[in-house]
Amino acid sequence: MNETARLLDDSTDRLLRDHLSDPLRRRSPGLRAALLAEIAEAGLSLALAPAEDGGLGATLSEAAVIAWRWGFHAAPLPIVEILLAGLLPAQVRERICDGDLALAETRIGPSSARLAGACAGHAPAGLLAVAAAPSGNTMSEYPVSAGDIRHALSGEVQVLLTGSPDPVSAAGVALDAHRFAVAGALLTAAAMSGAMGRALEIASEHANTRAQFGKPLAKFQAIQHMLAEAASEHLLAQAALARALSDFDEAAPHALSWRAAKAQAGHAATKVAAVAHQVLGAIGFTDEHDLHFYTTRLWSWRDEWGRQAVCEAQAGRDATADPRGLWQHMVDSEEMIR
Amino acid sequence: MGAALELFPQSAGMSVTRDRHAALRAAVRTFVDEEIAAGTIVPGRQSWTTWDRGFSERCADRGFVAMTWPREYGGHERTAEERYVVSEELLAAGAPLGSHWIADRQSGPQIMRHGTDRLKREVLPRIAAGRCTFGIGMSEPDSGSDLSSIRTRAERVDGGYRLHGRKVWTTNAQHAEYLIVLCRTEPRGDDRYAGLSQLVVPMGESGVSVRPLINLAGEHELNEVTFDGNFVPASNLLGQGGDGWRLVGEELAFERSGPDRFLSTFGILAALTRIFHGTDNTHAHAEIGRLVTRLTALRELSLAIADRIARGVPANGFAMVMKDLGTALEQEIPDVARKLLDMRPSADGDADAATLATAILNAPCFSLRGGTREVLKGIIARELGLR
Repeated sequence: MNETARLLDDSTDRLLRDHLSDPLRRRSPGLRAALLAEIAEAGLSLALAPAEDGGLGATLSEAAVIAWRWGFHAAPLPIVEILLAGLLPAQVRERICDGDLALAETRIGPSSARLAGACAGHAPAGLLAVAAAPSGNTMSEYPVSAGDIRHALSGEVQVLLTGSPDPVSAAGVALDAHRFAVAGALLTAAAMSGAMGRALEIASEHANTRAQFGKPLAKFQAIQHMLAEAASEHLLAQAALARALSDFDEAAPHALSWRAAKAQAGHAATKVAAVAHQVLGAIGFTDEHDLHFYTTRLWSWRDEWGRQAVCEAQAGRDATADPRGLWQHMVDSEEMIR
Repeated sequence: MGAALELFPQSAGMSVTRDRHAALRAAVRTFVDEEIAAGTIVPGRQSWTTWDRGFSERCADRGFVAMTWPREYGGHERTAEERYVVSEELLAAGAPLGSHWIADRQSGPQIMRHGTDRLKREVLPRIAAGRCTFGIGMSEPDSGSDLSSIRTRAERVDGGYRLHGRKVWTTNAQHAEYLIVLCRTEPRGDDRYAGLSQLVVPMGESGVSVRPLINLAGEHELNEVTFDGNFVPASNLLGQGGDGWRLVGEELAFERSGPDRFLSTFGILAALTRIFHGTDNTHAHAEIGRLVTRLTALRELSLAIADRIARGVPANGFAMVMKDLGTALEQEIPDVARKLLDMRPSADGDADAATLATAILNAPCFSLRGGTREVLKGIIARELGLR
């Protein structure tokens, strides 16, 4: 890691350890508010905001370690949306971090009529959507009522608007909606990677300590192979993510890079969650064990900011549409950057 | 402990600008186009095991062999990254690399690292000129995955050794000038890994016989090689003698880490993309996209491994993962293709039908050669601290 990334990782880790190492604290009602206050104070929520706006001006690769560490601790709060808020104007950013405003996923390509997004609070007044429009990129706020509130598989608060509601306000916005969507996908993939890493640690520790038939589970080849496969999928996801973050920060234009990162993160998450539960056995299936905090987050995040199937379908559409053929499509779309 | 296999967030903020190497890629593609026009590359019908001495010599003329080797051995002192670019371009084109691939990838580097000066001078320039095929002498009829149980033995005689034993599954041994043979130079004792050595065995000597093993695709690539007292000069010993287990591990590391472990069936995937160009088949897009995104991720892993090796950082666990996942994808690609395409795969069908046939027929060996998938998973598990 570079210096900035290490700093962000250390701050996030320390903050989360303080709050989450005690299992009872994780369930306390004041936890979310406490975390929100502390990440604001530590400047972490402003990681992506430019320095002239009081932020850290971090690259996406650097900010992604916050998301990674957040996933590693399976911490509550929608960290991706909180970090993305750093790219938005101050008044909107504050409302997102206060939980007054949910942030919708920006969709690229064929968009469904539904607007969906995560929220730091329990009862947001509105849902903010950044979108690309022919005339420029826009930021629109939609009203949210109690009936629009859902909960993700992870238990996080989500807003789901159906139909085509009218926005209560709309404004042009300077940021690139497409890049905003990609940043959301990659921050989510980073959070998934942190969760996968910890889930695999938990499963490996369990396999090494839990004994049946006179030996630790880890001595059984079936268990070894399952964990090897899960760790392999995770490593593959990390490789794709590292490249996609690098490409994003260098403004390389190739969509295949981030789509591969998000799709592989989804594929790996499914495998890691399944293997972790299989190794942990019944205890891991209950709320008496922490594993579910990780796996429910993985199951939620794999669908957010780029569903695996959508990323793959778009990648396939692009690949088949490229008249140069598949090899050039894969290797020649990288700009030569000096 | 869980961080044994980690790439991110270790690398966060340390982005490495990816150089496209446009000029180098263009040079390889020009060469490939010429070879396709001349009929020496038949897209989809060949792979990196297909032997063609003339092709290898022409590759060498273009500077595509021994790229990173010192000039004193006929090499070009180019970077590992440039070698990677040339390798992946040739592999994606399905070029017949068999005459020089193993020598270039592992045998030559092994000799450079552990060979005598005399051996290096004798062999390396010929490999660099594309005129020397090497075989891998590891497996035996009774020793596949259990490599340390090999029984081929080298008896010390005046000036060298006499070899007795048998090696099997030896790719292109019928053409090879040399085999690097793992053998026992001391009888097996309590330590099963001790007393092994690697010898560079000249194939032309009397006492060496090669029997073809035709594969299920009807091709002669594999062989059984019998050593009946053939002579090997002392200067052909690699390492110190008795250190063969460590040496063979290093040679296997060279073998397991390249893009030949996920590009073997690229041809059929490229064909799929071409066949569904201009169609609106959403199912095909989904399946092709799944394979293309996975291949993209594997290529990134492969590049990360190559980068680590170039920096001298251990990458053994990573290479195991890449080989396991890469070969699984190589097998999955023809399986997806046969479901998407209304086609009967046939070696004597049209180009696409023949490409699919070649892929299906060869698929079983991808997860066997160079270390079976089950062995690889066991090694990965050990890297994770589970054994």
